[in-house]
Amino acid sequence: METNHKELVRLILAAIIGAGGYGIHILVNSPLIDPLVVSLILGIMVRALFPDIGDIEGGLSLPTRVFIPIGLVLYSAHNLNFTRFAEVHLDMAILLLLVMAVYFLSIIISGRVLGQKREITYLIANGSAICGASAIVITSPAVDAEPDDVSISLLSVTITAMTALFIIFPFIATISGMTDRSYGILSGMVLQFTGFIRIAVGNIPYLERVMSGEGLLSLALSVKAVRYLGLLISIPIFASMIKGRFQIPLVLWIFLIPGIAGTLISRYDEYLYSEIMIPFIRPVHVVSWSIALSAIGLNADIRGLFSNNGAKALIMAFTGFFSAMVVFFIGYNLLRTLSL
Amino acid sequence: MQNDVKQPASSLRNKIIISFFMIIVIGGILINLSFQYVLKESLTAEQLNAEMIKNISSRFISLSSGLTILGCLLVLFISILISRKITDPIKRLNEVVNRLANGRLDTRIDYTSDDEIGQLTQGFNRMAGELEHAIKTTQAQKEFIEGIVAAVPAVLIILNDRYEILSTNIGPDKSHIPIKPRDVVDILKRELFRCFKTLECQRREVTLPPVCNEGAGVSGVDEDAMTFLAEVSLIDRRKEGAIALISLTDITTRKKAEEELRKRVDELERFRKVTVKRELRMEELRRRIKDLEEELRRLRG
Repeated sequence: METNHKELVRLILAAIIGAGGYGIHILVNSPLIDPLVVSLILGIMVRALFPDIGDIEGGLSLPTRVFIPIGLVLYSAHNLNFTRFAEVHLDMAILLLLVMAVYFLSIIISGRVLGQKREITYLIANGSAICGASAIVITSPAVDAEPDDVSISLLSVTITAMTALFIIFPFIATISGMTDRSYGILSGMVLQFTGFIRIAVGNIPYLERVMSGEGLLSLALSVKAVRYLGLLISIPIFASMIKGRFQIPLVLWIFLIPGIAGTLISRYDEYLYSEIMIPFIRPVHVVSWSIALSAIGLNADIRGLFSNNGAKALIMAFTGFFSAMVVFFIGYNLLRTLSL
Repeated sequence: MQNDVKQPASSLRNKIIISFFMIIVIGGILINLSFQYVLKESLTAEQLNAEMIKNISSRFISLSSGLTILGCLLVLFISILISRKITDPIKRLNEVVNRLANGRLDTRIDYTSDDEIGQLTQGFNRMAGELEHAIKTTQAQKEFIEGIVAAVPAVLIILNDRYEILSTNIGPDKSHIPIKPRDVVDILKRELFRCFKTLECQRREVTLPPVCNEGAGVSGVDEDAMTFLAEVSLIDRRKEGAIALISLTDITTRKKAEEELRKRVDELERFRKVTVKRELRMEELRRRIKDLEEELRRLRG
C-alpha cells in the first residue's frame, strides 16, 4: 500500500519535473537546452535535495516503465523515416558506417580495458554513436540498466558533446579550413545530440560558404537520421550480450514498427505526416521521455558521475569521440581526394 | 599481505580530476561563447567587410578555442599531479592501516609534511605506537594472568548466562584432569541458574565419571571417578549478560580418606557391639551361676 503511494508520488513528481524540463526548453527556445538533459538534471537536483524520494528497490520506476515505451513509439514514428536515408550519398553512407563502427569499437574496447560495467559501456556506445539521450533511453530497458547507469552515461555523453560542440569543433574547423558543408557533415556524423547538430549548423564559425543554411541543416540531419538505423543492430546485439543468449528485445519492435508505419504514411500522404502528425508527435514524445528521464534522475545519484564508473565513462565517451573524429577526417579527406 | 579492504567505488583522485575538468570545460565554454558573441556583435557593428570579419574571427576562434583546449590539457595534467599529491599519502596510510589491522603492530608511515595529511600521518604514527604499547602491555598482562591461572590447582571455567564457555584453565597444563568443561556446565546447570537468578554463590559436591579425555590432550579412559567441590559465583553482570565462574577443587583424595575413616569407625562399632553383647551374656551367666550356687547352698543347709 505504502509502495503504491510512493510510486504515485514519484509519478506525479516526475510528471511535474518532466513538464518543467520541456517548459524550460520551450521558454529558452534554444536547441542547446535539450529537454531530456534538463529533466534529468532537474530530477537529480530534486533527488539531491530530498534523498528519500528516489528509493526504488532495483529496476526502473513506474514512470520510466510507462513513459519510455510511449515516447519510443512516437519517437520512432517521427525519426525513423526510411525515405530520408535515401538523401545520403553512398560514399557518405560508407564513411558514416565507418565512423559509427569506430565509435562502437573504441568505446567497447576502452570499456573493456578500463573494466567498466557492460551496461554503461553499451549505453555510452549507443548514446555516442547514434543519438545521445534518445539512444540511451531506448537502450536502457534492453540491457537492464540501473538508474545510475543511465545517468552516468547520459551525463558523460552530454559533457563530451558540449566540449565537442563549443570548443573542439570550432577549433578544428578553423585551423583545418573546412567548408560549411564539411562542418555540417562532421556534425551530422560525429555529434551525439540532434539538438546540438542544429546548434552547430546554425552557428557555424566563419567558414567558407558553399551551401545555404537550410540545405546544410537538412544535409546534417539526413546524415544524423541514418545513424538511428544503428539502433536496429546495436540493441539486439547488446541485449544478447547482456543476457548471454540471442534476443530481439521487445523495445526493438516498439521502435521498428512505428518507424515503418511513419515511413509509409509519409510516402503516401506527406501532408498528413509532416503537417498533422509530426507537430503532435514531437512534443508528446519529448514530454514522455522528459518525464521518464526526470524519474531516472529522481532515482539516480549525482555522485555517480564522480565515482570510478563516472570517470571511466567520461574517458570512454571522449575516447569514442576522438576516434570517430580521426576516422572522419581521414575518410573525408580520402573521399575528397578520390572525387577530385 | 592479506588485504581485507575492498576497492572503493569512487576515489578521491577521480573526484579531484573530474571536478577540475568540469570547471575548466564549463568555464571554457562560457568564456568562449561570450567572447565569440561580443566579437561577432562588435565586428558586425563596425561594418567591416565579410573577408575581414572572417579573418579576424578565424584567428580569434582558433586562438581562444586552442587556448581552451590547451588549458583543459594543462588543468588535467595539474589536477592529476595535485590529486596524486593528495591521494598518495592517503593510499599509503590505507595500506599501513591494513597492515596494522593484520597484526603488524610495528608498522609506521614515513611521510613528513606540515599540511593536514602530515598531521594525520603523525597522529597515526602516534596512535600506532600507543596501540602497540597497549597491546603489548595487555598481552603481557594476559600472559601473567594465564600463568597465575595455570598455577591455580583448582579448575576454573568462565561462562556466560547462555551457558557458553568463555574460558577455562583446563588445557595442556592440567591435562591430567580427566573432565570436560562442557560436562561440568551441564551437571551444574541448576546451580548456575540459581546463581544467575539470586546472585548468590552456590556450592555442590560433584563426582565426575571417568571420561575419554582426548580433547584435553590425554587419550584413553581414566579408571576412577573424581570428586570435586564445585563453587559457582557471579563475576560480572552487564546489560548484555552475566558472566559466572565455576571453580572446581579436587577433593577426591579427601573423600577417599573420609570413606576409609568411616569404614574403620563402622568396623569398630560393629566390634564394640559384639563385645558388649558378649560381656552382657557373660554377666548374665555369672549371675545364673551365682543364683544356682545359692540354691545349692540352701538345699544343703
